[in-house]
Parts: sequence; C-alpha cells; structure tokens
Amino acid sequence: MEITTATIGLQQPRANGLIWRAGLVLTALIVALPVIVIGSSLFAPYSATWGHILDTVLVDYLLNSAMLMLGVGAGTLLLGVVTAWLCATCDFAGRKILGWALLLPMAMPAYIIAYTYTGLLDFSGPVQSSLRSWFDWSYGDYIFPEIRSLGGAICMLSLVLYPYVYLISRVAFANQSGAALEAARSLGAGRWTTFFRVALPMARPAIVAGLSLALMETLADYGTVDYFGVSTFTTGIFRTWYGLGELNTAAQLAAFLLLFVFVLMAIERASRRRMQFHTTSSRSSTKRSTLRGANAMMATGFCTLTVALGFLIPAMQLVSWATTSWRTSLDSQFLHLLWNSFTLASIASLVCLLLALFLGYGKRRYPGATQTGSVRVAAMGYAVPGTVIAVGVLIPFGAFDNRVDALAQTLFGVSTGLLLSGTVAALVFAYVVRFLSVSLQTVESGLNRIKPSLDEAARSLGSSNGRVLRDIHLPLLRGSLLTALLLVFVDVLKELPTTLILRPFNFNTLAVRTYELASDERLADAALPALAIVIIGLLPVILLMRNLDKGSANNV
Amino acid sequence: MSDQLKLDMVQVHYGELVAVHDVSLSLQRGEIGCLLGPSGCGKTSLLRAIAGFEPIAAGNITVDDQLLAAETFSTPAEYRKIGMVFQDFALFPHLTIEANIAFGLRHLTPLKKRDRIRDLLDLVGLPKVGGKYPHEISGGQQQRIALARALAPEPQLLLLDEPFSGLDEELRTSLAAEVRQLLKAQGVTALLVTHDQHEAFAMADQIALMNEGRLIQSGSGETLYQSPASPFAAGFIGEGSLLSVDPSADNALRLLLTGATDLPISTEFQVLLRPEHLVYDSTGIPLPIIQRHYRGSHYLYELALDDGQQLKCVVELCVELNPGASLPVRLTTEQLIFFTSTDSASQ
Amino acid sequence: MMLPYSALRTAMRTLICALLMAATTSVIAQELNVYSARQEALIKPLLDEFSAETGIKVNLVTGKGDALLTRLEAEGRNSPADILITSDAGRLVRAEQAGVLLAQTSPELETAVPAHLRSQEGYWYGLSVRARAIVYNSSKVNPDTLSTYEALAEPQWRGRICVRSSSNIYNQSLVAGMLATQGDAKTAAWLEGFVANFARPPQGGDRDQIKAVAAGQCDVAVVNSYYLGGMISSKDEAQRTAAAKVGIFWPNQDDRGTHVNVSGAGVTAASDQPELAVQLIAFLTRDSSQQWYAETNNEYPVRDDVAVSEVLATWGTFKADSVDVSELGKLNAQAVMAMDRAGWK
Repeated sequence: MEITTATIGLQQPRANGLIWRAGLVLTALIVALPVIVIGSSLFAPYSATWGHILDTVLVDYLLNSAMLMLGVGAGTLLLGVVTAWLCATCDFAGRKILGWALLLPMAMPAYIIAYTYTGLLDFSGPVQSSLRSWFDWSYGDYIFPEIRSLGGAICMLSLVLYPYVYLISRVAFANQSGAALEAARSLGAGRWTTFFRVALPMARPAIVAGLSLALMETLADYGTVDYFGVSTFTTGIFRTWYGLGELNTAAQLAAFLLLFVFVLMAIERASRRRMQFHTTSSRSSTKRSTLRGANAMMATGFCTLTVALGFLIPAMQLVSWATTSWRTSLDSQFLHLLWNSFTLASIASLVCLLLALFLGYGKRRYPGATQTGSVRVAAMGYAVPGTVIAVGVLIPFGAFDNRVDALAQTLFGVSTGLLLSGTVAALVFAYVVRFLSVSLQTVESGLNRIKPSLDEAARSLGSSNGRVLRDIHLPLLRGSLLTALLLVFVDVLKELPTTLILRPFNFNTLAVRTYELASDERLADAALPALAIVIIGLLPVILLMRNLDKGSANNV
Repeated sequence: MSDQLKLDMVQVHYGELVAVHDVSLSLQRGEIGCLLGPSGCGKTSLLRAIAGFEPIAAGNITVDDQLLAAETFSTPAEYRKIGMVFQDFALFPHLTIEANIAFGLRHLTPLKKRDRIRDLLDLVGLPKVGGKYPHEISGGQQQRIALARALAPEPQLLLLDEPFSGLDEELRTSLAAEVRQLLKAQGVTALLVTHDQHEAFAMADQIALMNEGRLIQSGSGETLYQSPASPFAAGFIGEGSLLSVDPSADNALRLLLTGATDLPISTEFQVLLRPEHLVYDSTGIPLPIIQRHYRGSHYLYELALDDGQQLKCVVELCVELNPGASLPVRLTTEQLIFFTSTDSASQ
Repeated sequence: MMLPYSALRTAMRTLICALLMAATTSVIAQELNVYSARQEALIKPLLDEFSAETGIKVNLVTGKGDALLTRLEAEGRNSPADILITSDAGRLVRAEQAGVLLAQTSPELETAVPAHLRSQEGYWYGLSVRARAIVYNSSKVNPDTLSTYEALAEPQWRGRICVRSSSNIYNQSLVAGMLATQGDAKTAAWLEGFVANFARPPQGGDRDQIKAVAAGQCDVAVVNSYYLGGMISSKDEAQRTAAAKVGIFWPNQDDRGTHVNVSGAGVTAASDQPELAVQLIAFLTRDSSQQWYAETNNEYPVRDDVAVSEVLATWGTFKADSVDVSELGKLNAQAVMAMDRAGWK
C-alpha cells in the first residue's frame, strides 16, 4: 500500500494564527496610541492647579455633565423608544414615511442644530421678537425658556441623538417573538402593560446599546455645550488647557473621562452579552396592530413632532439663511471645501472599514482574551472629545518624526523633516482613532450573524479562504459594510475639532468653514456649508433606511 | 479491498484539554460508519479533524491512501475532497438552491453543471425547488439539499454531523432510512456523528462508540447491543440495568440469576439485564412493582430488588398489576453479559 | 450583488496618492508657513496681497491659539511653521515661554509697534489693537452714569449686566489687566460685585451680548468694540437694527484707560528663514495693512499714525490702558482662577 502525502497548500495553522494574533494586537495598539498617551498622563505629577480645580469648578463640571447625561439619556429614551415601538408594532397614518423620516436628525450635527435654534429662539430671535411685537411686551413681561442653558443643550443633543436608540430598538421590537407578547395579552395584560412589562424588558439590551452610543456622543460633545455656555467636564478640559495653560492637567482630566467611558462601555457590553439570551430564534414576529381614533392621531402627532423638531425646523432655518447668503458663500472656494470634505471622509471611512474588517476577522478566526481586550481599547476613541484625540496624535507623531529625523541626520546627514505631522495621513489616523468603533461595531455585528458553519461548508466544498471571503462573506456582509462605510463617512464630514488642529496647510473643510463663520456669530453665512453637511449626511441615512426595510429578510 | 478512511492513533487537543485520545478506526469503500456517544465525548471534534477544521496533535488521518493530517501538518479542508453535511445544514442564505448545489462544482462546464444539479435534485426527490432560496423551503427539504450539495463534487468521503437533530422525531426516522438507501445506492463512503443510537442503528454498517475522548468499542449495531465490551457500552446501548452482584449474598437477585451459566462464583461482578431477558412467569421470583408504564403493545414494569437496586421487565398487556403488588419473573436466557471489577477498572 | 470593486480600487489609489503627496511637505525656498489663530477671513487677504507683491507663497493653517501652540511644540525643531499669529498677547507669551519663538530685532518693527504692544526681547509684535468697551442701551441708560469697569461692581447695576463666559480670552485678559493694575484683593472684591450684577448666566458671544442689550434683556454689556462695528456694517438688517439701539462707552478714561489686547505675530524657533518671516510681519504692520484691519474688522491699528475706519472715527478717540500686554499673558492663568473663585461661569 502506497501512501502519498497531500502537500498542496500545506498549512501550519498555529504559526499562521500567531501572525494574525500579533498583527491584530499590534494594529489595535497603534490605534489605541492616542488614548494610551492621554491615559498615561494619569501617572504624571499632579500640579497645584488640581487643588484649585477641586476647590472651585470640579463639582460644577461633574454636576453639569451628570445632569446633561441624565437629561440626554431620558430625552433619547423618550423619543427613541416610543417612536421605535410605535413604528415597529403599530400601524397608523404616515407610519411608513415617518418610519424613515425619524432617522433624518442623524444627518444634523449637534453644533449646527444648536446654532439654528439659538437663531430662532433666543431673546432677539424671530420667535421672541414676534411675541413681543404682537403682545407689546418687553423684557421681563413674559417668561420664555432660555435656549442657551443646560436644558437647551439637553434638548438639542436629545433631538439629534435619539435616532441611535430608535434605530437599534426598532429592530429589537420588530424581531420580538410575537408569542411572548400574545402570551402576555392572554394573561390579561393590556396594551400598555404588555409594553412596559414584556416588550420593554425584552428590548432592554438593544435600548441600552443605543443609549450608550448616544451618551458617548454626549460626553464627547464640545461644540454645543461650549456655544451654550454650559460648563461640563469636557469644556472644563479645554478651559484648563486654554485658560490655565495646563495641558498636562487637562490631559489628566481627559484621562478620568476615559476611565468613566471604560465603565460605560463595560456596562454596555454586559447588556449586549445578555441580548443573546433575549433574542429568540422564533419565526413568528410581531403582528402590527392598527391604531384608531385618538391613539392613531397621537402616534402620528408624536412622530411628526419629533421629526419636525429634530430635522425639519432647523433645516428650514438653514435654507432660509442660505437664501440670503448663498451669493457670497457659493464660490470656487466652496467647491474646494466640498471636495476636501468628500475625499477626507471617503478615505477615512475606507481605512476604518478595512481596519474593522481586519480586526473583526482576526477576532472571529482567533478568539481570545488578548485579542478581545486590545480591540476593545482600540475602539475607545469614540467617546473621547476630538481635540483630546488630536493632542494624543500630535505628541507621539511629533516625537516619532523628530526621532526619525535625528536618526537620519546622524546616520546619513540628511534631514527627513516631519514625515507624519501636519499631513492628511495624521488627520486620517485621528479620524480612525475616533471612529473605528463605529465601523467595528457594525462589521462585528454583521460577522456575528454569519454562522461559522457557513465558512466550513464552503471550505468543505473546496473554497479557499479568499473565495469564502468573496463568495460567502462579502455578499452576506454587504449591508453591514455599506452601513459601516457610510456612518463613518458622515461622522468625519461633521467632525470639527480634530480637523481644526491637525489639518495641513491651506486645507479647509465644510465643518471648519461652518464653525469659523458661526463662531464669529455670522450664522447666515455659515448656513450654506452647514446645509451641505446636512445634505451629504442624508445619503447614508437614506441607505440605512433601505437597509432597515430589507433588514429582517437578510437576517441569517 | 482497501480502507477508504483510516484513522491511526489520532489525538485532538484544545489547549490543555485532550478532546480525542488515540482513536484508531477504518472504513471500507462504500461503508457507512458512525461515531456514537454522549455529548462531549469527542465525536464531533474527531469529525471536524477529519474534515480539516481542527488540527490533530498526534496520529495520522488517511483518506484513499493519501495522508491528510499528522502531528506536523494539516491539509486545508478545501483540498481534502471530503463533503460535509452540517447540523444546522449551513445552506448559504444568499444563494438559490441551485447555486448552493453548484457551489462545489466550479470545475464543470455550465451545461454539465446544470445536468449534475438536476440529477442531484432528482436524487433527493426535490426536482422543483432549484430556483428557491433556503428560507423558502422546509427543514426536511433543507436537509436533503444540504446532502445534495455535499454530494455534488463527488467527495471521497461524506461526513454528517448530527444530520437529523434539527428535525422532528417522525421525519428523523424516515429520513435516516431514506438517506442510508441513497448513500448505499451511490456507493458513498460516509461517516456520521450522532448521540442517538436509533439513528446509528438505522444508518450505519459500523458503529464506533466513544466516551471521554476514547474509542470504547467498534462493530456492527448487533455486536454492540449483544456483546458490549464494557459496562459503559452496556449502559449506553439499549435499555437495560447494570446490577452489582455479590455471589456470597443470599438475596432475590442471586436467586434470580440461579439459572445463568458461567457467572463468577468467588468475586463480585456486574451483570447486564435487558428487559427482554426477563419474562413473566407465575412460578418465578416475585419482585415488588415500583411503577408501570404503558407502552402501547405492552407494559414496562420497574421492579425493586431487596438490596435496593432496580430492574425493568416487559410484559404483555393482559398482566395488569398495580404498584405495590409483586410481579413474578424468571430469566429467559442462560447467557448473560457480566463484567468483573477488572473489566470495570479499565473503563 | 457585489461590492463595486473598481470603485474600491480607485479609492485605494487616491488614498495612496494623497498620503504620498501629504508626506512630501519639505520646505521649498520662497515659501512661508503661517499658523494663525486669527480666522482665515481676517488674515488670508493680507497674506495673498503679500504673495502678489513679493512672489513668496504663504501657506496657512488656522485654529485655536493653544491648539496651534501645542502643535508647534509637538513638531519641535522640524516644524514647518515660520510664523505664529494669535488673537491675543497671552498666547504669544505662552509660546515665548514654551521656547517655540525666536527673538528677532528689527528697527522697522520696533518703530512701527509701540513698546507696550510687543515683547521687549522681540519674540513677538502686536498687529492690531482690540479694545474692550462698555455697550449700553441708549433708551435706558444715561452714559453719564457710566465711568469705569470697577464701577460696574456697584449695587446700582444689580441684574443689569450681560457678559460672555469666563472661558473667553477677552474676559480673561480684562481680569488679568485688573490684576496687573489693582492687585489681587481689589480684583477679587470687584469680581464678586461684578458677577453678582449679571442679568443672566454668561452665554453666547459678544454679538449676543450686544443683541441682549438692544432687546432690553440687560442694560450694559462688556464687549470688544469691533463686534459692534461688525454689526453696524452687517448685511443682516436685524443686526443693524440692534446695533442702532446701543451706544458705546470707553471706560476708565480718567485713570488707567480702556483695556486693550493685541493680536500679534512671532517668528518660530523652527523657522529656517527668519528674515523672510520678519519681512512678512513687517508687511502686516505697514500702513495699508493696518488700515485693512480697521476697514475689515474695525480693529484699531497698533500704529498711532494710521487713520482709523469711518465707523471707528464716529466713536471718537479713547485713552487705552498702557499696561504691558505681555504682563496680561503672564497673569492669564491667575485671572482664570480668580474668575473660577468668583463663580463667573
């Protein structure tokens, strides 16, 4: 009997795995570098300024941040969960249109909605001015809520962040086992009791996931709270840096923010782990119940109001401003801005996608605590204010460039100058640090839905790894990949502080232009670039909507 | 005739854990084998090692005289020409049934591919579902398509991982017989993994019983049932009671076993009593009834021995006694399976 | 359906090109690189004019002063920047202390810029003067009741004052000026009274304060004068109407003078063409440029001999505080802490 060895494609799985694992950990560490740089400030000496901060402003920062998070949490829950439940389980006039229109506020950057509502609602704005002229009031004769306040910031952030909760919990409500809900009804629970005692607890992990995204965005927000004069922990970081000139103390404050985010993320992970037990594979999904009369009107009214406040009114305000200013704003410079914003967002979203695919795949093929841990650290940038990330990029990149330059000088007598600092590459890197988490989460959830047995089935039918990726994974992941790409695209488009600090010479974006004009209180002139951001931001929202409609069929 | 599949002292490790321990096994061409055992016994790990999804830590795996895996290397799954039917069927949800079956047929011309797909759909008795998507057909149909897809590239060996566990009871038995017939007609060498002995009996020519990573016993279903080589095999296969016997004691069990030959006289031992080994006999030894189960054509009585052990007996419906009463029984055979403590120690 | 591969490939190619292009930012002669905290609209036209005149290309990055300073520090001696422009003296002092500026002596600059508006060693030079004035509602406040910043802490102004957040550099600079001239104790007492007089929690920018005064939400506000100038010449009618309802008052005319700060520029230590950089700064301080600040943004020239804009002319002349602006920079952190203690949000 002759035994031959099948030597084709000889493979040593363990060595291969080692390369993957090492690559994964290394990539994650590089992406986590800015976060590590900021975090390491915790071990630097604490200056005397700390005493001053503790004595005077820290309590204020913490209280305001806590109130802001509580408020935005409650606001996004109210708007997001109610609309999600209505759209997923009920039928009422306009449900289909409202179902996707509810996503529109995602395209509206928080700082832009803040500008528009300030223009509309502040004391000298059209609303209050009209009230005064109609009723012949003057200041002090009437009570009008102050838009530039903590409450105002809560409203603004809630209005643009609720879609995160809406998006995730709507899918959860739609996929809930109809049987469980029917069981509750048969046990004598009314519609509302069923909602609060069965549907809501079952969707809780999804709601928490959406909520934590919204809260991380809230923590990272600087533009809105700064414009409204609300001193939060985040504005405190900048006050310490700019006002007191203490970058190190500011970094330490940022590091404490990071610690808090880590806790928040751990809670979110824990709740997501539970979600696997909550979602049943039952095929009988919820049947919509048709609302009638007052209920139907209230449902339509609530959803319409949410869309109007979160998108229609600010968008209309932007359009009306833009009509007064477009002649001066729309020049060749503007096309340049469009192009810069577009290419930057495209490059960054592609890089994020490729990295997310690499990390997601590595974690899937070679699971382990080290890999999971490092990927988690790499994803932390999402909740870190952009400026803090920018500093975390500036410092190591500058050090690296100067080290390389010094080395080249001594070895070859040539100066390499700055290789990375002040380049588009540094900027893209910062975006990746900030937004990798967005694409990673999307890609991972897509990958999780592909059962490992599909890979194995394909391989047992003679497919190489490459063909498995091309013929099985890519088609199945298409929706997730597109979503990941577009979410990062829009986030980069809206991104301001990192761009402002890291951009190369003579390089402007739509967001930078909007900010420069708005911060100079030229809101009307800022309207056109702001509107451009919103319109481009609508593209992914529309695609998301289409995905949402097909979503249930694509579930593997 | 040469062996189509040959496993030689195969070990599979997961880190420190040894999932499969020195298993040797062979299947001849056209033979259907089965790895049977409780969950966690290593049977699935072994199957995945044969398929190429797990590396082996020691030993050899040879298919059709080609060495596929050893301690130092592993031929990737895609080069092994081994088909597999998965527990969850693993049909590609984004491809039609036809495209699923065509997935492994890349080397064929379109015309030949079409013919092959048609033949396979006919073979599994589903000629009309080709254009549908997996979620549009029933579980039993998905199972058959998974089989057709695995058979399409004419593999040297077909592996089936708990292929019927996702189906309901009724479908399971009929489909098992049907699949066996189909595989036999095609002359396919196949290896099945299951924890269900009825499925193993219905499908396999040769059954390898595994426990805790080791091969316990291998042979035909009859051999395993009638001559289990260890107390584990005796307990796992078929219904029956493994009773400890002290030959020096003077109790009901000792009395019951009086007629049996060849039992040890001086050492303690374990004896296997299957329900059919006992029969109702009004002159037999009366044993108190614990429970009576209605089994359609007969009753199954659970009986108590005076030393606290229990045994089972199948009796015709006319003998209807209530718990608390006594059922007189006697042995139907003189040849009983027994294990002395040295046998037990090895298992 | 498949992903569009060709699109993916094209995008990858674009990416690689962009990265390569970005990496080759080696300094070519006859180019100057500017980091500016003055907004693009308030500096670029002048730089373009300089380029047109001299043929020297000027590259620009704008951003917040401290962010640019941090970038300069991180980039170290290889930084491409030749010039740092900030919108206040405090950042220039910080840059000087951080060692990223290189002192330049230039007779031309020293005659153009008065001594108290530049660093004594020549690290930086003021480009334009920004005055922090009091704006009042003409129908509710008699300007005769106004006198000094200090007087705004008196109880008669309780609930009548609007001012922006203490995070704003102009307020920090104002308090630093107070510290420099009045000392710690007096400043702390003043802050207490001043903060107690706020009509509303600090919010918005200087234009918002002017609008609030015009609308009657408060009676007086402390703002930089050029914001009022911007509103007077605004295209937006609402802004012009609001500006018409207020008057401007120059405080402290009988003692130290109205508080001023400067926007200024310095040559970086990393610059390999400091002479060229000095040439640009000199360009920014010459007559026509100085006039441009006044015309475009209603800022005051640093040079005494330059005519101010039409709007500025209607406000008359005023006596400016002659405290050394570099002193303001050094006292900035102290000022922030004092405001923290007084509860000025």
